[in-house]
Parts: sequence; structure tokens; C-alpha cells
Amino acid sequence: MPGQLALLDYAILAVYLAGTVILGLMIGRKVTTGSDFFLAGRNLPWWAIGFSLVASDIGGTDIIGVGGAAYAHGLAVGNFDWIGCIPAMILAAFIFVPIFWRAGVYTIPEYLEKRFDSRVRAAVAFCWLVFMACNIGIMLFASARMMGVLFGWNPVVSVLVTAILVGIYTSAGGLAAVVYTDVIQCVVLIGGCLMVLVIGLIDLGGFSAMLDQIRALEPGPQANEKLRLILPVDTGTPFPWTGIFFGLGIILGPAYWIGNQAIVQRSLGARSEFEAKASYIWGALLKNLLPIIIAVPGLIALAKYPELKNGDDALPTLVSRMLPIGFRGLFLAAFLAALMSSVDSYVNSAATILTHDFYRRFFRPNASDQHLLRLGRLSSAGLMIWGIVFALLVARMEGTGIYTIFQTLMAFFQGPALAVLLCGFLWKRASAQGAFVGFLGGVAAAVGLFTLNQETVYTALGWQPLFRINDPFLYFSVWAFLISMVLVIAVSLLTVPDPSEKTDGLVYSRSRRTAS
Amino acid sequence: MSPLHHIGNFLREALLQVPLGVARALFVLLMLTLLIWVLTLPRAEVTAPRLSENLRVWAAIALGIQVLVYLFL
Repeated sequence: MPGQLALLDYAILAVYLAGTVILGLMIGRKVTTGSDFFLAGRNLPWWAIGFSLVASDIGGTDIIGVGGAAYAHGLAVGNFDWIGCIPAMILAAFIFVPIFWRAGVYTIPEYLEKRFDSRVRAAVAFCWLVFMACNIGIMLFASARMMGVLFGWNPVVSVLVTAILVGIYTSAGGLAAVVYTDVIQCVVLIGGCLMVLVIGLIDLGGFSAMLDQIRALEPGPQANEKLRLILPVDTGTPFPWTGIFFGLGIILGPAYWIGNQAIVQRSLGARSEFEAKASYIWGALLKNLLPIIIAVPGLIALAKYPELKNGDDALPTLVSRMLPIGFRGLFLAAFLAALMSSVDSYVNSAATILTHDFYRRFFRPNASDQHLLRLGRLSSAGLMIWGIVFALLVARMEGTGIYTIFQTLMAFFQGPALAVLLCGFLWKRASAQGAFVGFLGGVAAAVGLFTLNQETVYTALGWQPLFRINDPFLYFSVWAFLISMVLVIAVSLLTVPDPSEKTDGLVYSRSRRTAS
Repeated sequence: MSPLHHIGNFLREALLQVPLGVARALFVLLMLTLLIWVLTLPRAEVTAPRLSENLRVWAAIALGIQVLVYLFL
């Protein structure tokens, strides 16, 4: 693909990038208060938030990586967008988002202080801040490395250009700029992927022709595995049904859609509680489409180019050999849209946590709205600079496995954070002491399991590995969640109940279908 | 063998015995349970305080597609 981009491709890319930055700057001119910057003045419509939810969820590496995983392992990767998202989004829409919105909070940790205490808020906010700040750098690095392979671009230049463009409109316009540019990015993203799907299927002779060719490649059960969502426990892929159902569907999906500040924050800026709910439902409807337009192109590549050694080469090969000039530029714009829409969300949400959960909460409780607006803009710019530095640091340490280790380590606190949130939302008796012990205990248990699963450790102990699949992060999350849940319940029952102001309006009640 | 390994082996052996058809039923059951729950939500929770603005309809469509996806794929 390097060198195969024509002037028209670059022109399409330039129009997309310029349009995104100009829209963000225009919105930035209307941002005059801290509430405008962090919550878009609570005036966002449902359709924009829904597009933004989907765009924020799909990173640049996902566009290539999901197609690559489909090429290597089959359709089972679609589970991440189906059971991993849709049930959690529906539950969030009707139970969790309305309570967040009514509580009038800026961040999820702020809700946790209202429901529990400042220790729980600080512990969860710290974990999310570290995760999001580092994830900015990792997303920039991973995408830049991919752009280097795909387009022959210098990774350092890719990191700098992407970060500066995102930094300009995110620092200027805050959440409103992030959400409205995400709308453009989501449309470009879906359009670019849909184009690859349609052109690929036409070239193969239709959907059934694609299935026939895949079955002809690997006769027997192997081919059937490629076309199935539910795979056996002893599958050779990373997607056994147990990990998908319990780890992804029950733990990581809800933890992400209910507990991730970068996701939930845009619904907190909705213009009404109804629109906050509607945004999640719209996002769930869009999610039904995604595996078809992102994973199926990987299967098209499998049918057409079965000789590729690396799954991640599937989509680039498809694009470079099949798409005409101009269409490649649109695909590249889709790739950048996926990257920028994720980075801008993490920058904005990390700035919100930094400003509201640490600065305003612990250092300047009486800071003026204008002061918080200035700090929000400064911290957004600072986080973008940090993202560049961290991306370059990760690039220097490439080959040490830091990327995979970091991703796995950061998945550890999501199970415990979900346990604390669920207990806080659904159980009046959950106490601050229980939540604090449960969160820390769950994180410690996850780290312990991870350590015991390291080859040097279990060999020294004369043991076998605890988990037999590679990258058992789905199983870590299940156990961390369960241990955390048990600790929250046990400690809460052993300690004095919290006063009623800690539960009024903050706990879901089935009898009234609303917050009690 | 540590107690953790015994627990892990027990669970692994037990789950290996579960037929894929039963696993599929679990996935479908999750989606169906949510679908039924959405259909029982009171109108006040799914409308703005028009059929096209009834969130129950759209949530049911999203979950209905999921039921079909996990039944047949």
C-alpha cells in the first residue's frame, strides 16, 4: 500500500481533517463556562451522543485489528460488538444513565463520593486517570505504527500530527467539540468500512459465494469455526464461549458501558434524561451493524487471499488490491476518524477527572467557573503533550512486551470498579467501608492472579499455569469482579449502614422503576 | 497443585462437559431475558415526559436482532 495513495486520496484526507478541526474550533468559540467545556452545557442531542458513543468505542487499531482477528479466527470476534456491548448498553440506558444524569455529576467518581465517600472516589478516579492518560499514548503509538506499515509514514510524524490536530479542537471546544466531531468521524468510519464490504462482496460474487470459498479452504469443522460466534472451551482461538459469555458479556461489557468515564461523560451532557437514555439505545442499534462492516471484510480477505501469514495484513491487502483511487483515501480517513474519535474522548474525560476529582475536590473547592474552564483547556493540552511523550516512550520499549502487559494490567481494575458501582446502584446496604475494601481487594486479587500466571513464578513454585489460554484477561476480570463483590457484601454487612442521604436518589429501586 | 488449581481444573472439566447447544441457549436466554424486561418497562420510563419516540420499540429491535444473531450464528 505504501506509495499507492494518489493525489485524490490525499485530497479526500485533507478535506476530512480540515473539516473536523474547523468544526471543533467553531464550537470552541461558543464555550464560555466550565459547564460548557466539561458537559457541553448539558445541551447535547441524543443522535449526536449515540454516534459519539460508537465512534469513541472504535479505535484506529480496531479497524485493522478486528478484520485481522476475523481473518485469523473467524466471526467470533464479532462478539465484542454484540454480546460485549448491546446488553450492557440497554441496561445502562434504563438503569444507570438516568441515575447519573439526575445526580448532576461531572464524573463517575463524583457519583461514588455522593454514594460512598471520598476514599472510594479518589481510588477509582486515580485508576481511571492513569488508565486514560496512558491509553492516549498507547492509542497514538499503536495507530502510528500501523500507519507506518500501511502507508509508509514516519511513526513519530504520525503521532505528532494526529495529537496536534486532536489537541487543537479538544482544548478549544471541550465535550461539545468532541461529540460533534465524533458525529462526522462516525459517519466517515461507517462509510469507509461499508465501502470496503460492498466492493469486496461484489468482487467475490456475493455473500453466499464468500461462505462457499471459506468452506472450500478448510473442509470440516475448522471452516465451521470460522463462521460461528460460539466456540468450544478448548478452542485454539482466544474466544472460548466461557470467556466471551462470563468475562465479556457479564463483566467487561457492563464495566465499559456503565463505568468508563470516557463513554458515560457524553450522556451526562444530554439535554434531558430521556435524551440520555435515547442516546444509548441509538448507540446499541448502530452496534448491531458494526461486526458486519468491520469483521466481515476480514472474512472477504480470507476467501480472496488465504495465503496471508499475518491477520493484520488482511484489510490493508484488501484495500490496496481492490479499492480504486479515491476510495483508498476514504478508507484512510475512516482509519484516522476511528483513531481521533477515541483519543479526543480520552483526553476530554481525563481532563474532567483531573479537574473535578482531584483539583476542585482536594485543592480548590471554591474555584470559579472561569478558573475551571481555563484549567480544563490547559489540562487537555497537557494530556495531549503527555500522550505524545508516552507514545514515544512505548515506541522505545517496543519488543519488551510492555504494550500487552500494560493493556492486561489496566484491565484489572475494571471488574472491581464494576462490582463497587453495581453494589452502590442496586443495594442500599452497601457501605463506604465495604466499597473501599472491595475495590482495593479486587484489584489486589487480580494482580495476584496475574503474578501467579507468570511463567517464572509458577515454575519457581513447581505449579502449572492457572489459565491455559494465552492472554487470559477475560478470566482475570471475572475473578477480580467476583472477589470484589464478595468483599463489598461481606464488609458492608459487618459495618454500620451509611446514613440515608448516601442512598436517596442514588440507588435504583425496582418498585418505583426509578432512583429511590 | 494449589487449591486455586483444583478450583480451576474442576471448573474447566465441568465447562468442557457443557454441550455447545447449551452454551448457545445461554447466550439466547440472556438476550431474551433483557428483551422481556424491556417490554415490561412502564411507559413513563420509555417516553419523553409518538410510537417513533418510544424507546421500548427501538431497544426491542436491537435485542431482537441479537436473539436472531445468537440463534443462527
